[in-house]
Amino acid sequence: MKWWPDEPAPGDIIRVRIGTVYHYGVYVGPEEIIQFGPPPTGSAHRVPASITVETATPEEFSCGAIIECGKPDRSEARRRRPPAETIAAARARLGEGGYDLLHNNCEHFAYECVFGEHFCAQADAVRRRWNSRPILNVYLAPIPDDAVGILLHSEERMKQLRRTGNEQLRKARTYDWAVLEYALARSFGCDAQHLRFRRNRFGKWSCGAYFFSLAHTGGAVAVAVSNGPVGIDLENEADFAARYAPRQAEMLHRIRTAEETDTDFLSLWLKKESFYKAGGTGSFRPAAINTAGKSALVFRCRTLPGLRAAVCGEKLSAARFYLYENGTARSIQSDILRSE
Amino acid sequence: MQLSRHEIMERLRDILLIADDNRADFIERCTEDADLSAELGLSSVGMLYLVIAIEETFDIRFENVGIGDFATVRDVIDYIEAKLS
Repeated sequence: MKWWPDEPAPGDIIRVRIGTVYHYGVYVGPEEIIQFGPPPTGSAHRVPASITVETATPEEFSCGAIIECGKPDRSEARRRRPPAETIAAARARLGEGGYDLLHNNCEHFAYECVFGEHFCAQADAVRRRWNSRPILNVYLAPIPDDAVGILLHSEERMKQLRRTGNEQLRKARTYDWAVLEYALARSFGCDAQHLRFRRNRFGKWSCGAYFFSLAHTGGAVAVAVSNGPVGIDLENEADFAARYAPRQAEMLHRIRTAEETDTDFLSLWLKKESFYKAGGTGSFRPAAINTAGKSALVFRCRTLPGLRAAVCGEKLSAARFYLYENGTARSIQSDILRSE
Repeated sequence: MQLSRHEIMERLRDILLIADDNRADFIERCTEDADLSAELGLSSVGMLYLVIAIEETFDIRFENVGIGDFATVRDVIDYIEAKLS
C-alpha cells in the first residue's frame, strides 16, 4: 500500500498522521468519514470502553493534518472490496465498541472494511521490529561463597562439573552456568531445563538458536548471550599484571599481528580470547588471531572494580550490561567504562 | 511464568532502555512512580512499542487498552502482575 495526499474516492482507506502514529478511517464522501474512535490527539484520555465506530467530518478526522489516501498495490487491488461494499460494511458497524489499542484499533477497522482482513500495519511493524532486534546481553556477577552447591538444570553441565577436580574451578563453572540459565530466561524468555546443550570437540558449548560465551576469573564470572555468535573474556587486572609483569611489552610483541595497533597487552589478549571463544573451533593461538578491523568492546565496570573484559559478536552494537546478584540482575549500562 | 514484582520491574527497565538508550542513567534509577510520558518521554508510538514489547517479553496479551491507560511505571507493573497471576 502506498499513501498519497490525493483526493480520496468513496470507499477508500485513508489515514492522517497524529503525532507519531497514524489514525485510519474509511472515506464515504466530502462530508463523511467513518472511523473507529476519534483521532488520538492526546487532549483527552480516551477510555477504550467509550470508543465506538462513528462518523466524522474531514476536519474532525484530520485535526488539521494532511489526509493521505491509500493506493493498493496489485495484490491488494485484487483483494479489496468494491467501494459500495466497503461503505456498507463500515456503516453496518456504526456504534460498535470493543476498541483495543493493539488488537482492535482504527486501522484494524479500516482494513476490515476495505479488505475484509483483520490487520494493523503499525502494530505488525513494531512487533516484527521487536522480535528481530539484535540481542547481546552481558551479565557480570561476583561469585558467592555457596556457589558450588547450586543445582543446575543442565545434566550435560552437571556431568562435566562432577569430573572437575579443582574446587575453585568447579565453583566458577557452576556459577557461570547458573548465571547463564538466568540470562537465557531473562534475555529470550526460554527455560533452561527445556534446552539441549551440546559441546563440540573443542569444548565450545551451544544450544540451538541461542549463542553464549562464558568467562571467569578470580571471584567473578561474565556471561554473554546473544542471537548471533558471541565471545567474552574476563581478567582480574592485578592478577594478570602479576602473572605477566615485567614481560608485558615482550608478550604484546609476540601476540600482535602486523595489522594490529594495540598498545596494551591485556586489552589485546582479552580481544583475541573473545574472538577465539566466539568462533569456538581449534586451539587458542593468539598470534594467529587478527583482530584488526574487527569490532570488540573492551570495558571495565564501576560496580566491579579491578576487572577488565572484552566482548565481541555480530550484535555488538546492541550490547547491554547487567550485574547479577542474589538471583536477579539489574542494568548497569551507565556503569560501563569503555576502554576503546 | 511466575515473576516477582522486582523482576518484572527489571525486565520492564530492559524494554525502556531498548526504547530509549539515551536515558540509561534515568531509566536505571527510576522508581515505580516514574511518569511514562512526562519523565520517560514516551510518545504515542513509544507507548505502542512498549505494550507490544511487554506482550512479547511476558507472553501476555493486553486487552481493552487505550493509549492513556498507563500513566506511571507502577500502572504497567500492576497490569503485568495481574496478568501473570
